[in-house]
Amino acid sequence: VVSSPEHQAAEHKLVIRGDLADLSGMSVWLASAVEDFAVPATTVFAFDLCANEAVTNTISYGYRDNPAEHNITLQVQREGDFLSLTITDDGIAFNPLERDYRLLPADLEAAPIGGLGVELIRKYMDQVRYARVGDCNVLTMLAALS
Amino acid sequence: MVVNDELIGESVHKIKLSGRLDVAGVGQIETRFSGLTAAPRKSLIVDLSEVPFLSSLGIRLMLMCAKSVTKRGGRIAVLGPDENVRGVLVAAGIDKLIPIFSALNEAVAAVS
Repeated sequence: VVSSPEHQAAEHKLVIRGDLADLSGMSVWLASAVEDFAVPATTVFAFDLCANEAVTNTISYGYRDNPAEHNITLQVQREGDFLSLTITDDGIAFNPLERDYRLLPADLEAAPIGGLGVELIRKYMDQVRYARVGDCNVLTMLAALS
Repeated sequence: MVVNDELIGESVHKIKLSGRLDVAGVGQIETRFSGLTAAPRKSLIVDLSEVPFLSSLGIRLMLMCAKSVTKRGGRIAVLGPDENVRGVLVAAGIDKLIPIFSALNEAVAAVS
């Protein structure tokens, strides 16, 4: 973890390295950040799940060089009636909304790499937005606050 | 992540996992879990009652395990997932491949 969660707690922002070893710390920070918005436990779980899926995909398949030399930024904020988690990385352009996997159970084992994670994100979030901004992927996932 | 195994009767193997089945958790137990599920027991119950978190990596581990068990003619069931973990299993369609039970006796009956 590049920046201490305490240091950035006020703005609900965290920067991690592109290293799977940083995911446990990310989950601890995320639970605390999301709980600040007084959401139910199921919403905390949904963000934890979706952040794990998205960041694991980015670190595992998103870079041509050493992922650990890149940073991934997470930010939690309120957007009207929704709570949003924005994940920004400077990896290869990847829009998870481009493909519709629609997995059938029997296909799970043969599912494209990372496909199940994307499918779970779509099922657990109320809205998902993607933008390529400069050299960065910006993925925003929203869940209703009520 | 803790893995406990127990033999029920002569042919049912129950494996209880405790901890988060995320990247770190799956990494910690992958080898041991695969070894246990390859053991010469006919059927398997995977107790998830002490697993508070499950991601797609955990699902893939469950699928690999189910494949290995069914390949040798055994049956597999999941026992006691909490609401969140059950939700992920259902969202991924795993409940159609591996039945989920709340009670141990029901799970034992299903795989026996």
